[in-house]
Amino acid sequence: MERREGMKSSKKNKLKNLLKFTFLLAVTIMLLFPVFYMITNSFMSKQEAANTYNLISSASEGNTNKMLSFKFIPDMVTATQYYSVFFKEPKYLLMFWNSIIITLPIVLGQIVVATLAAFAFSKLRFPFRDKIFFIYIIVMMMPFQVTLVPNYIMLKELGLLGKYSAIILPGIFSTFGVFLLRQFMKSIPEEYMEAGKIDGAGYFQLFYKIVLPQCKGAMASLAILVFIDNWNMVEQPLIFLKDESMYPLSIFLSRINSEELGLAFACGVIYMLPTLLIYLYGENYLVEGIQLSGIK
Amino acid sequence: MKYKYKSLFIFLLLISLISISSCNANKKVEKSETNRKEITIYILCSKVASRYSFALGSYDGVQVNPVYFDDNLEKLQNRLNLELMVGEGPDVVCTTDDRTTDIVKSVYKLASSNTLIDLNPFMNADKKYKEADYNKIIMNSGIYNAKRFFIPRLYAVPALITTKEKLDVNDINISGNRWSWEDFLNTCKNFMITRKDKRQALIFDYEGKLLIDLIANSKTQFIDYSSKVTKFNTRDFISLLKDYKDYIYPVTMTDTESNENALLADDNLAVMRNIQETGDPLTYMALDGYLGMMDGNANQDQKNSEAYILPSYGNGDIYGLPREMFGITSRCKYKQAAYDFIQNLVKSTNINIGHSPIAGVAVYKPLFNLSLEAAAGKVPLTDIGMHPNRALNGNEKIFFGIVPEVSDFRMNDETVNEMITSSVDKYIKGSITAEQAANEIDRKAKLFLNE
Amino acid sequence: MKLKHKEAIAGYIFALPSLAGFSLFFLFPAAISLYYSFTDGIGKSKFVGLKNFISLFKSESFLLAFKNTILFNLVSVPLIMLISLLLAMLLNNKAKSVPYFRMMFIVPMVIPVASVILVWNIIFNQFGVLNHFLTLFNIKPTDFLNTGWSFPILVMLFIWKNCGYNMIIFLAGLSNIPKDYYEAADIDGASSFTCFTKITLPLLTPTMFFITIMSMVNSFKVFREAYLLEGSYPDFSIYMLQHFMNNNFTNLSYQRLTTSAFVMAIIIFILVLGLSKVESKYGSS
Repeated sequence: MERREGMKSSKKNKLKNLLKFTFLLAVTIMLLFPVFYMITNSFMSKQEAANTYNLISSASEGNTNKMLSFKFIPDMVTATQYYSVFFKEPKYLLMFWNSIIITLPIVLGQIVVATLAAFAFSKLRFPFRDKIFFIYIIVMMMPFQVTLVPNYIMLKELGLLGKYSAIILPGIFSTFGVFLLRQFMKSIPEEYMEAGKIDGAGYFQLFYKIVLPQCKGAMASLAILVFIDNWNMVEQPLIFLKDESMYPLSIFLSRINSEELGLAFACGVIYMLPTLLIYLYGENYLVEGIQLSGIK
Repeated sequence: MKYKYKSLFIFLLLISLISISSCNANKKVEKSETNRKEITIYILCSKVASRYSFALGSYDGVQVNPVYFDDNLEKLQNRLNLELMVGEGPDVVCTTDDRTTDIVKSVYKLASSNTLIDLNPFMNADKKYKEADYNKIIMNSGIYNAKRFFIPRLYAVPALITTKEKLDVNDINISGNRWSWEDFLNTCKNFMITRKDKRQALIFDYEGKLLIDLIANSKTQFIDYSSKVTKFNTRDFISLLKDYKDYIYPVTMTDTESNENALLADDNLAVMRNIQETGDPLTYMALDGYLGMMDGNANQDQKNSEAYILPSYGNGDIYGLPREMFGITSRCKYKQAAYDFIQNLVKSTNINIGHSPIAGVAVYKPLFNLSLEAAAGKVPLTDIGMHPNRALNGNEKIFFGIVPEVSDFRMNDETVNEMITSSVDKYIKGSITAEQAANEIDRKAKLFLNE
Repeated sequence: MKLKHKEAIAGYIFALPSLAGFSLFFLFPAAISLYYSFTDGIGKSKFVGLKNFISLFKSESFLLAFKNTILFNLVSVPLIMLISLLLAMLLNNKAKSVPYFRMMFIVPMVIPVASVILVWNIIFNQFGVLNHFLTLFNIKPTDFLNTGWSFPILVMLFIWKNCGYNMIIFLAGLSNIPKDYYEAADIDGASSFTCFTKITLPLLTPTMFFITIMSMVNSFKVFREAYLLEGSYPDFSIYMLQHFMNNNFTNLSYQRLTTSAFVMAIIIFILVLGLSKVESKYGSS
């Protein structure tokens, strides 16, 4: 009896898993579609790219009965676009490095600042704590154009205009990290803190030895999300940086026209790589977080 | 209880210390008062080509500092916009430069944004100002909501330019100095049928502005900025669009098309392609240009040119487009000096500088009359600021010869123009109907005016 | 008292870097710009009271943008939370294929906007793939991007782009629920539905609070895609507050911008207040 029941439930389980798997696969295909498209199209020659997509840019004339269709495989597979990016026109690589120069300090800075502050907001009691946090949330939700003009004036007074710090500093102090980590730290049970205090730990030790290790998953998530957010930042560099040679890659990619489509595809693939790498690296911590959840 | 207030106090103290220290970090020592009053103006062209070179420099205790942008329009626009919003930027703003380039994208929005000051008090206090000396109608274009924000220096009237020979060769007749709308359409229709060479176009649409000019030049004012009324969704406008697509557009060629290479395989477009290949500029007959604006188009036979005022939809009157409107920003420290500077520019007898092209006809009447006399040969050309080695060519003679009295002005707004051209592009390609195009334009313009 | 005192000081010290930077780069600029919404001009600072607000609410463009933004949030935020929670739960186990799936889901956020726009354009353009497909069935092609269809298209774009984002956060939150709770419930014979409603949901409340807020923030950021697809003045159905603000920014009408930002701040204030009340009610298990 038991064995039959066991077999039935395992069959049911298998069916369930199969359904889950197909569903996930379908979703993945939908999500990945543009990426796949971009990768294959980056191997097109410049001419082919312009030809295929000329219907979108309104360079064409008159009533054509032509319709667009997806072109997955280029007629002629060539790596000329990559060649251009790496060797012929090094300015794209320069822009790539600019992106890194801007994004990396922001990620590191935010992790440091946010973990400290989130610990305070979630575990330590001080007056006006919740009201201040409330203000944090509200100001975070404002679009940047609102604070842009006073920001500009302030940065000018501080003499930071035109330098990378004009973008990096506000990025480090963005309240998103505090918000994310505080929600996460709130769900760490109080017993840990009590236990630590009984053992006579000071606040910093509480932070460093008890709370921080538990947050590795959340910190990894934070790093990934902050990286993505700032990697894609377009408006702030445009306004606060004066020199075009300091522009990050995101600006170029938001401005492509039909002439440079092939190049933009290749740049786009290169653009995607760091984020994917960071995700892969941080994924270990995410998984660790999941595995540790069983152990108290 | 006690610790709460203590903590609050410490918190506030820390925050204020940090902010004060950062403010202190920049305590600039104010420059010692210069003896000169300084005025800044942004100029699009390079130093060499600037048409205001006669007015820049210092005089009468006023130092005018130009900032040159070497024809980099985007850089100038970005910087101007940002700085105006922050409360900085130049003291004097000019809305157009370099003949047809609009530096300020939307004159209307600039006027209503409170970044410019009202010039009426200055004009009222100006003892040398005589209202009769200025073209009143064009001067009205600088007024919004009963305040005067701009003083225009020049104005232009859209026109078509050609030579008598080209008209005769193609059997085209223009009665008087202007086509009526019906005659114009008929000529377009006939031209399509009778043209000897399929490669010919009737009108060469320089910079693609023909449609915008036709709309601005029509009897009905389709968009009124001060009263925020749009009339694009009317039968009037729709029928204008239909006329444009059916009759006018097929016989028009733009400068981009004449340069297109073999990317487009469609046979219908072979017409345009071959023009470039034959390299013979007189193969096609082209009419284009602005009265009051000299166009350096090498395809015109300049000596025998004739100009005809652009036809008006609905057979309206003659409308002027203000050019080079000057305003003073609110950050200007020496407003009176800036006002004097502008008046000097407007009243100076330099309609044209050196070799640069004429950008319009003077608003200031004495200068206007002087230009007429120079065109007729009664006074030397150097009197109106032209280079001694330069001679008035045929176009310019015509321009000054038949510059008409305008009955009203029309304002140009780049944002609205973009809305119009994008919708009409789709209409011409056939993806939407004229009604839909008019609807789109009206809807977008309404959003724009109400923002 | 002394201990509380100590804790308070420690609290302030830990939060100090964040507070200092926040005040300097965000709080003060926001306060200054909100102040401007009561004045007449940047250089002049003449106090005009509520005049700006009255003219703002009379503006048709503002009212339209306001209505559209609220509508967009009401539709897309619950939708995306549902979808991403579902996905996170499906992926919250130790099957071998799961890490690969997890990595795939982050990809939409990583792609540069331009490529996304290109693909979306290819699909929904007047001459695009979808229309091509429709003509096979003799249905007349429509320009989807310029009609009322742009609203669902934008919602789809928003969900497509951000469900990975939310999923990561849900995963981190789900991983925080100790397995013992589920085991205990299993022993008590609870169905998976009760497990979900009585254990998972309540323990996820802080995460859900976070995700609701971040989804709203992201729905403001979707402006970038909308702008690249349809320009500054798109179809009426997707003209949102962001378009309104951005256009005013480029047209130098700073008053309008700060006034509408002030209105937005008040609405956000009410929303966040309501949400946090809900969180404190359900969050304390």
